[in-house]
Amino acid sequence: MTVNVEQRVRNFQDSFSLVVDEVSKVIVGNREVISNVLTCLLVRGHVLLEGIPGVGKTKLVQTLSDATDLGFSRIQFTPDLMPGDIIGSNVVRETDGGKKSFEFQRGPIFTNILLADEINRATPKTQSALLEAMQENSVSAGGSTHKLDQPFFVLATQNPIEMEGTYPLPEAQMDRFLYKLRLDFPQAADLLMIVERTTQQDDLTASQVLGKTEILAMRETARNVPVAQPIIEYAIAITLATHPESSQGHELAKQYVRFGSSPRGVQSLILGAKVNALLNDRFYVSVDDIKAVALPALRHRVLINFEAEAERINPDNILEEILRSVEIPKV
Amino acid sequence: MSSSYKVQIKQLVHRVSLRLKLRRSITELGFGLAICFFACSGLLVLLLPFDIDLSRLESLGISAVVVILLGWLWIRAWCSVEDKDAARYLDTRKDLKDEFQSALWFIELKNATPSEHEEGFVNAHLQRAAKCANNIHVRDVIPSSIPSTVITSVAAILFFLATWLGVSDVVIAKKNKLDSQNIVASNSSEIAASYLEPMNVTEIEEINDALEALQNDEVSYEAKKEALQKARQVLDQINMEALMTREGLSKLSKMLIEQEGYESVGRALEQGNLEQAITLLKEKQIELASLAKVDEELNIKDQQAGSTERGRNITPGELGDAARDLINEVGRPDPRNITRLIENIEQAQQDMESQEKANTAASRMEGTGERMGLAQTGAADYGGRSATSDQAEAGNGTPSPDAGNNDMSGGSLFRRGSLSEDEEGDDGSATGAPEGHAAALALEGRMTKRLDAILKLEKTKVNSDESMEGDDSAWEFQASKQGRARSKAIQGLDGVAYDESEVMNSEFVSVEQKKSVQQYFLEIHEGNSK
Repeated sequence: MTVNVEQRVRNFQDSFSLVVDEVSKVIVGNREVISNVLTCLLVRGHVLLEGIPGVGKTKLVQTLSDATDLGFSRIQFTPDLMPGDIIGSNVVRETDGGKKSFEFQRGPIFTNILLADEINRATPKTQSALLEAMQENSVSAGGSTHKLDQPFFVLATQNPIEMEGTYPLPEAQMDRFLYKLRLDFPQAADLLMIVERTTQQDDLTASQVLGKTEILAMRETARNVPVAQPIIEYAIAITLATHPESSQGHELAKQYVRFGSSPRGVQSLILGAKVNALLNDRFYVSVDDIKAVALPALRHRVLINFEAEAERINPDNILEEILRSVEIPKV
Repeated sequence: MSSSYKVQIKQLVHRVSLRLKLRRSITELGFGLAICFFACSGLLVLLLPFDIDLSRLESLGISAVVVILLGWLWIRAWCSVEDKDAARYLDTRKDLKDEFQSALWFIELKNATPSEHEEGFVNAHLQRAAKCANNIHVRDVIPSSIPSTVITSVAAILFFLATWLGVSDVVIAKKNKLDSQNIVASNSSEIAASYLEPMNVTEIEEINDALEALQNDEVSYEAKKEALQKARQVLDQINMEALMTREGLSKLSKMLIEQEGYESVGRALEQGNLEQAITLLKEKQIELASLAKVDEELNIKDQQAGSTERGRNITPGELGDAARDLINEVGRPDPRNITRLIENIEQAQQDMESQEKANTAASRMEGTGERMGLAQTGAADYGGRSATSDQAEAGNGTPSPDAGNNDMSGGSLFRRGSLSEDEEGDDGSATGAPEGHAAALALEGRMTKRLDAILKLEKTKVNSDESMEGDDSAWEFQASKQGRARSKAIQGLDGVAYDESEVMNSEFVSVEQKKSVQQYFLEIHEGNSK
């Protein structure tokens, strides 16, 4: 049994590294972002990628789908995009005998990896079309519910909301994402490499290194990592510290936070920490794992108030302070 | 879960826990010790200016409080470390990312068992933790080093000892401050003057007052006579004390001569050289004090208890026994006994200096009184106690009680003076005449009585016109009477023969007897005053 577990963990690590390495062949830098995207994939989560145009958000998702044996769809969100354009719709189909009937025409959401490009350019109504799919892994249309194929993984990209022609994502929608990752503008060395890779005759493409079955096995492995109760309590303490109305709320949260993290935040912390533990060759989750995933798992769940915006305090500042102040439990 | 893994992990954690408990307890104890000893040092320093002497009970109380405090610290530190803390310490020291903490939590998991899927991971985790535990040596995790608080506590103890010794030195220095000043200071006369007993100063002032009264023409004859009488009474007392002091010094000198190591002191005393004797004793004391400084048995309390209060007026009769503690001591003499002896000798020296001053003043007083016709015998009668007189000048073989004269064989003078009023006719005077009483020698109280009688008789003679000089003026008659009385007194003294039983040998007179004689004289003075 123990040998089996160790082998599983080793396989997990190997497969994970393979994918990351393969994606990194195309995407310059941002190795941590690649790793986090893959983590979300392995714990049944979804990722919201944020960054200015041109930093490689779409390319990253495309490359990931290339590296894995998964179906891939891309939806370019625009203001006139309708929910039906995503989910699909019932269309009248006439048979050869002239009999007409409604038939559900599947939208692009019926895939394994869905790239919702520039999701914040669509209206909230359209954005919300993803809610059920992301949470329930199913789609309701025309009076019937359609299960989505597993793994179902949404990768949404968005430009910073202060840019023109964008609609902020509803809180409920934001909460569906396991991680919110930021792609920073590449450094000079990275830019040089990007230019070299993209200006040659043949574009680099990632090879498929991970099949669907393997991904499902990895998902199971990640889920089985045990977590000691004090570690869970630590994650809860961090989550509660983001709540301004909580007695355990941090001073900064009370001053600058409008709404704290939802319970999904704790789930995100634990799930992300499990993968982090496996990647660090551990069979258990430690406090360090929680800390490592706290920012991507909680930053989009902490809604700051006007005062924080005025003072240019972002959720990351608040979360970092909370991580410093919350007492590490005695396991 | 394999129980062997659990045992290995638990054993390691328990060993680390024990070592942590020990280390933390020692650290806390060291901290407590440092605080206590620094506090005690501060207490010593704070108590120094107030001369507060802690009793044995108080010292025991403080010690008990310190012990209880340290015990409480030890127990508190011991109980504050749990296995969880040990596991956490292990993880931190070895950078194990909560491995032992998690393992311990899974081992102690009682109510909730891990799910079937998780069990494999838990076992793998415990197996790996056990393997790690086997490679960990407790000494590597908690090296055997001396906690910094222990070093601090040792420093505190040393500081306390230094403070204690310093305070002891200060106490000794305070006690011997005046002695040291005596050795070092060049102006010894001022210091000696400061040693004068207030009583002696008062007595000398009384004599001076009488002298002033005699020289003052506005003062009546009766007042002058009364002042003279009072001054003589005072002088009597001073001379008596000086005599007993000399007897004590004589006895002391003999005692010290027989004592090994103090022969030179004894001989100096025998020769009347008190300064040299004191200097020799101080050298001896410094030598012994340097040895006693390292003696841990000598504590502050004993030093303070052993010191003699500077202003204490020891009786001259006690002087002979002043070296008793020193001589009876077994082993190395205690410097405090020497200090006590030095103080006693100094006091004796002061007594004799006071007597000398008093006699000087008395000599002037009697000279003045003689010129004014108040003295009945003249300076010759007081030769025995003149500041400048000696044994030869006394005329009766009686040694002067002046400073420097240690021959105490002249007690007969005072034996004669001790005759009661009823025995006046048997006082040894060979004259038989009233004038013969003028040779009543050094006992002023007694002589004062006789002076009154003489004056009365002379006045009666003048009034009855039975004078041999006929109609001579009063002053001429008195002068001739005075001269005649003096010559007769001298003749009487030369021809007097005392019985052996009447002669007091100072060597064999006990202190009680001397005191009774002194008391007797005092009663006579009081009776005269009344």
